[in-house]
Amino acid sequence: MRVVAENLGVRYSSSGDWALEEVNLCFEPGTVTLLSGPCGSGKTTLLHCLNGIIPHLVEAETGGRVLLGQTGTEEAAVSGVSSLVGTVLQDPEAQIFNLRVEDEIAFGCENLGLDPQVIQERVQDQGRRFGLAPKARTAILSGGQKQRLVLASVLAMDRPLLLLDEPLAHLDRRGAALLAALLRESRTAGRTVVAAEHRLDLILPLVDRVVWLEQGRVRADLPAREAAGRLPARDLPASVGPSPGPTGPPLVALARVDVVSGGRTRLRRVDLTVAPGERVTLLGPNGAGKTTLLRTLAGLCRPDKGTAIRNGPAPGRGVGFVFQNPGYQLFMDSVRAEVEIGSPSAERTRELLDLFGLWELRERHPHSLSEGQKRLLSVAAAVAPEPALLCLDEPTVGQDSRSLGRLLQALDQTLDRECIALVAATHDPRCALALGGRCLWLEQGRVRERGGADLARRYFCRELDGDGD
Amino acid sequence: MLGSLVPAPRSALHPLAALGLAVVFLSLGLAVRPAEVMSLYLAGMSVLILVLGYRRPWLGVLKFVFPAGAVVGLITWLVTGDRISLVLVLERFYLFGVTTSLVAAMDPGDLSRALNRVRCPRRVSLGFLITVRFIPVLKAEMDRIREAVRVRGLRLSWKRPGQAHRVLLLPLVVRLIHISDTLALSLETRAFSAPGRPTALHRPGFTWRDWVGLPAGLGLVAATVWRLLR
Amino acid sequence: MTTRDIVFLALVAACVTAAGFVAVPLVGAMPLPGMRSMAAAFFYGFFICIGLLKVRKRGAVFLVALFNGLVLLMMSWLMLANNLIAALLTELLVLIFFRDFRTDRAVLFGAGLYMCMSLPASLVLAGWLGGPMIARFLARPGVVGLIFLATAALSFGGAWCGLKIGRELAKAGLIRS
Repeated sequence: MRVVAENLGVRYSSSGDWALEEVNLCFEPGTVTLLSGPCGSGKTTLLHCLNGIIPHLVEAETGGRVLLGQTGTEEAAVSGVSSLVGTVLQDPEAQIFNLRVEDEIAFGCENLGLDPQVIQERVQDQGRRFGLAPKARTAILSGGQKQRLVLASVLAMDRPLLLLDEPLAHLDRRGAALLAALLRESRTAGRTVVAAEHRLDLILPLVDRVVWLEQGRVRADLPAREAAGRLPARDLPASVGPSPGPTGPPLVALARVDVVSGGRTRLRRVDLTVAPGERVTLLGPNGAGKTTLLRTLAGLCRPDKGTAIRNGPAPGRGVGFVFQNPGYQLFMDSVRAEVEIGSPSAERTRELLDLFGLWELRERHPHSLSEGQKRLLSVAAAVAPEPALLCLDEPTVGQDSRSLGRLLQALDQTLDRECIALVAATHDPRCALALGGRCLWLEQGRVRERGGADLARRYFCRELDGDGD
Repeated sequence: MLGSLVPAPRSALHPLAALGLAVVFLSLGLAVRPAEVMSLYLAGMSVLILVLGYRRPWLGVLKFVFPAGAVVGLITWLVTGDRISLVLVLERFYLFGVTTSLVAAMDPGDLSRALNRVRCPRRVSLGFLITVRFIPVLKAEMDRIREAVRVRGLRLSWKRPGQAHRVLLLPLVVRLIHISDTLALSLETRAFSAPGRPTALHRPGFTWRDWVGLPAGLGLVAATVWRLLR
Repeated sequence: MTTRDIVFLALVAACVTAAGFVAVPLVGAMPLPGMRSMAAAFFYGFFICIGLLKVRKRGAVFLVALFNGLVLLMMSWLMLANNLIAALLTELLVLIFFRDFRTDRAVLFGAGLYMCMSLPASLVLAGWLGGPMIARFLARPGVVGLIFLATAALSFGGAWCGLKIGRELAKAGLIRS
């Protein structure tokens, strides 16, 4: 199905600026198009226009039109548009409401009134493809499995237009390989696919065309093979500076540590020491134990076997921890107050707000910030009490390379000056390569390999090749 | 990987049959007075639900119902000095437990489908499913928020309720708004409002348990009413 | 009501249900009638207030009560009936005094009142379950009055906290002020 956006403009009722302006694009059947650009550039807004969410479900002033084949999204009801478009939104956890996998996959097909026999076949097919047991409870799936379930439930509807909003955000290399196969198959089947994604390294080899958006306008529209060297996002921070080595006795030393939770052994016989000023990056697929290891280092969970010796750092005292979703850690009514509660002095608060580029936003409510700004704020607040150890869990989810670059530069300055040790868990090569330091490759709770930047490069090359488990 | 995920249990009776029996059993139980009739009524119900395959939920519910009933009953006995009041309280708690075990074993997905089949508005069954699905999610969300408070080094105190309620509830409410907005968009883009009657992957049907359980349950109710009237 | 409204109210219902599951067992064995309602009153007031601040429409309290009641139906139909009666009374009183939930005062009133309206039916249920001793308690108007006052204070306190958080959400642009 041919999809055309003509002179498209969108302005949200809560904002004075146009989120999209004069967008003219055409998406041909059998092609995969990547929408990219910084956070807030209008990628999600454009996807919402293509699937009729704007103007039917989100209030906004609109101009121009979107045609899905011969159907205009403005004239058709949401139900009419949804019979042509399959959409995978961000945040898989928030999109699943059925209690069983098969019910979630079947939901869209049931709404379209398909024959139960056909639905049964599609449930089986998609379950097999994404490695999901149809009778399993949705509540016990991991983040990566939930992302796969959302993809499966949309694909089961078999729509001619497929829209994907950050589909790689929660996927490990096996999930990414499944997505790659799906994109190839969609192209062959003549589907039109439009995906918004920040992880260009993973997705560029899989797309035909790249549309680069900035401030709501199309800045570049290129074939993928030409885009590789020309996009602004390719200027990634290769490294934010030489990684300092360890100084002094270890802050935390884990020896042959096992951690069991929810009836599963999350870590098995892990040894790791972290010294002041050191940087460690944790790599591995979904469910490998990266977050559990971070939590153990921070003292948030106790080892069931082995020993954890701490030379100072404990939760709330000497340890800063930034979660995958920074929203959980923002409690106060202004950006300044958020940094102030942990900061020893007003000077330090001001200095950190400056360093992280938040001074201009100091009176804003933390929850009114963009995702990238929230991440910067949560890291600034974690660094404010001058911790000895800083743990970052997937700091790049939802970040464009510009805000990631700013975060890494600010971190680099603070960590070196104050000799703070950093441990970060990440799926993102941009982050792993920029942080430098030691790398640990975890699989099924065990340390599979230890090394430096070479290990990170090797790990992510495997990921790009789609080397499955 | 597939083997590690545990399948959920399916209920023994058709959801609407189980619900109907529970309503009738409890309603009549509220009206039964003579102790010997109540004992026979409870015994009949117990045999029936065990035959129908409700042993596990029955045992599960009893673990909560008997201790609570015993505490309230003993205090009642001490206050009133009447041993019969202990028996009365225990009987009522047990009746509550038996009817609860009938409905507690129900699969919420099956109940939702059964409600759809009897033309209950889809938005009601959808709301019910979302409520059930997100109760455990909320617990996980609260755990994350408590952990976030801990790592930020914030000390919550009942002496400063303003800070405590802000720190615990603000992130939760923000997350609720985010989840609801995303979920609503996800539902609409998966054709939730599409015209026409939706089909269903599974339709809960009547089994031998329903054909046996319903007449037997109604028979027990009729016999009890007859005994009361006599 | 839009799908978005229904989803948000269902999540609010999940919150009050979860809060009830945590608060009620703490006082479950206390042989005082109405203790269960009292224990959960603050959270019911808070979350219903948040629900009303985002969905300022007639019928919102009824829907929260219905979704919550359908889960409680898995324990007893009496709890569903109790919820629906309380919600209908609350909606009716808001309709009489405020017409709808457009003002913050109407939201505070509706959110605080719901738990108070559910108390009479809760007391009847407690009286039936608890036998003669509870019936004796209930026969004393002082005891019933105290329970009612405490429940109302907690419920309106929760609703007031909900309003405070709601103002911040409006400042953050997450709900309309």
